[in-house]
Amino acid sequence: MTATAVRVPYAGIATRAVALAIDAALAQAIFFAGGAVFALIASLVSDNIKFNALQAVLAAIAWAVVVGFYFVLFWSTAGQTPGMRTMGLRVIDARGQHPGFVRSWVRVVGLALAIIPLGAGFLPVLVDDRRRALQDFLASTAVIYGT
Amino acid sequence: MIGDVAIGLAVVSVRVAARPVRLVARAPVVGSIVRQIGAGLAADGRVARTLVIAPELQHMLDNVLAGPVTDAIARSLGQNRVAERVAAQVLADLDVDSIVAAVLADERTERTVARMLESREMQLVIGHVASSPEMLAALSAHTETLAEEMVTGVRSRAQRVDDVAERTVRGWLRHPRPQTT
Repeated sequence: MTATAVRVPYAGIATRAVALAIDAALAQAIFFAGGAVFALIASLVSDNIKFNALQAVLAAIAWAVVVGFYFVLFWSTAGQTPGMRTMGLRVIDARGQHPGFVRSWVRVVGLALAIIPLGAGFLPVLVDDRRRALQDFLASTAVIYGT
Repeated sequence: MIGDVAIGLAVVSVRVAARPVRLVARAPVVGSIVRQIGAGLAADGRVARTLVIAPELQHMLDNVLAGPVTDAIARSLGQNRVAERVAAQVLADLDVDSIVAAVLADERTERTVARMLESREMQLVIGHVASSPEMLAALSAHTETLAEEMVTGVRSRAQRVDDVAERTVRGWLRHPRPQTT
């Protein structure tokens, strides 16, 4: 009996970067649209809106939550975000299925940690046999080509 | 064929019947009376011909056109390609290019076209064509195809960059990618 090795089409760094850029733009657009609606409603209530430090921090947290939910929602329900779908990518766990809700949150945190040091968390993609980035190591996931 | 024979018999009968009348008309005394009667009959005949012959001619013409002769003529025209020959000859004789150029250069053509384009009917036609399901489907298909082609191009280029980047870095580290994973 001979074992046949199957070459899994793990996605490379450039394709993943383009997909991430598309997703970042979409998440920002969603946050800006929501912020615009919120500002419109606030302007009806008060004439003079000024952000203090606490409100700025709350706005930053809101941004993080919206962007985080964007990724978690798509990864845990479809296994791919709109940007990944555009580039023909899919995120899978060790069983070959899309990650669950908790694993997706872990992956989002890993994504943030990979981006913070100027994207250094993505460099393992270039040398790892399964082309995994920091978020993939943390969440035990991989990104493959295929819609 | 039978019609031709009938007409021939009628002509012969009239000629035979006219001979005795001619002889009587040449006679010394009776001849003048017969000629006067003949002149009167001829005058009546001329009046009758204007009143009777014309509708009969029309009727006869209708019969001819409704009969097989018309079909035969039409068939013959078609078989001998008369229309094509005449059209080819007319086109060869006419300088069509200069005629078309003259028509297009004429102010009236420009005015007519402008008036037609501004007309309500033309606007209705344009609106109908622009909003037709076929036109919308064609535009949609074209746009989708364009977007798909663009995305496919970006994907394939990005995947090439993936491989080149990985190969380059692995080359620096002397750590080649395994053949199977």
